[in-house]
Amino acid sequence: MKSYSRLGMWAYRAAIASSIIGVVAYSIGSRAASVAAMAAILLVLAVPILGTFLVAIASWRKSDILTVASAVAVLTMLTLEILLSL
Amino acid sequence: MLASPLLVLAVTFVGAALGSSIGLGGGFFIMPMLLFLNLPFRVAVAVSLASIVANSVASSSVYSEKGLVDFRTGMLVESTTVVGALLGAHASYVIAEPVLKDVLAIVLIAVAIRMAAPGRRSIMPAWRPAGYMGSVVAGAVSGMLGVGGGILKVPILVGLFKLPLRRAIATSSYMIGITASAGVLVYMVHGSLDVVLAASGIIGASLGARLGSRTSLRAKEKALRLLLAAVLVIFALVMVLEEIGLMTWI
Repeated sequence: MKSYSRLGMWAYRAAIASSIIGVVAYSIGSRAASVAAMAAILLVLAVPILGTFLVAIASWRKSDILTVASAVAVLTMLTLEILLSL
Repeated sequence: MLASPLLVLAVTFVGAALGSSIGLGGGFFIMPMLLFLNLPFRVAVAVSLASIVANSVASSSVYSEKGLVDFRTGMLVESTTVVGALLGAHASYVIAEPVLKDVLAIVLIAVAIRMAAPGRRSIMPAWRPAGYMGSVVAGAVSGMLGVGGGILKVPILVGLFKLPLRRAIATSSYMIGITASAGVLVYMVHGSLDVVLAASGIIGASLGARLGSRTSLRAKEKALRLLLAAVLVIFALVMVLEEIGLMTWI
């Protein structure tokens, strides 16, 4: 799962940078603070969700149906949580 | 005391440093300290969970590169943990805040006991369905109280799924990210996520985790565990005393 570690490190660094921009922008009273902070949160949240998707694809290639089903169940629950709140 | 982003950054830094010095995520230290800043319970949980996701992403990426994460076992167990996390986070909107604080205080004392006596064998029965039920509980504790729950997940992975300890820790750090993300989503859709405070938490916890993991290499582990267990007990006692009106924060 090299793709997971690459995705994770890239998103983590971007999230830290975005968080710093958000906190600095907040301290100088800029309206960009919320946007940068939200970007940081979405970046870190994207990794576990995309990571689950990557696990599902990798398991599908190995014909590991149980892991695919588990990953699909996780993704379905998270998606339903978002959709039901809209 | 008002919670400013810098205070949240400082608190999450200290919490993550304390936690990672003994191989934990730090949620058990971060949560009480955020509450001492007078943050509403659910806002504190959301900030804590966001910082936990960031730390999990960083650590699991490194573990994954070294081939230590067992994605298959992690995903199998995680499919039940997420159910617990979603239920726990939703339950926190039904349960009164003082009750949640009491539950957190009880969990802190239980974790302190576990930290003070790490050599004891796992209390998990050798029955896999019990492991899945245990992971639902771990998810619920995480979603409700803003902690990662690794202290519950690692014994389940070692005791019931027979993973070696290092592999279990790596797999648990990967799982914690998914569990905490589920919790963050619930708090986000309920409007309890303060994005600027959460961003501060992400920075603080990231810096703290780096410092803590370096400290752990130098300190004597047993003494450190006992000291941090005592800190958790003090946190729990302060929370209870505050709850019954015997202690107030300025």
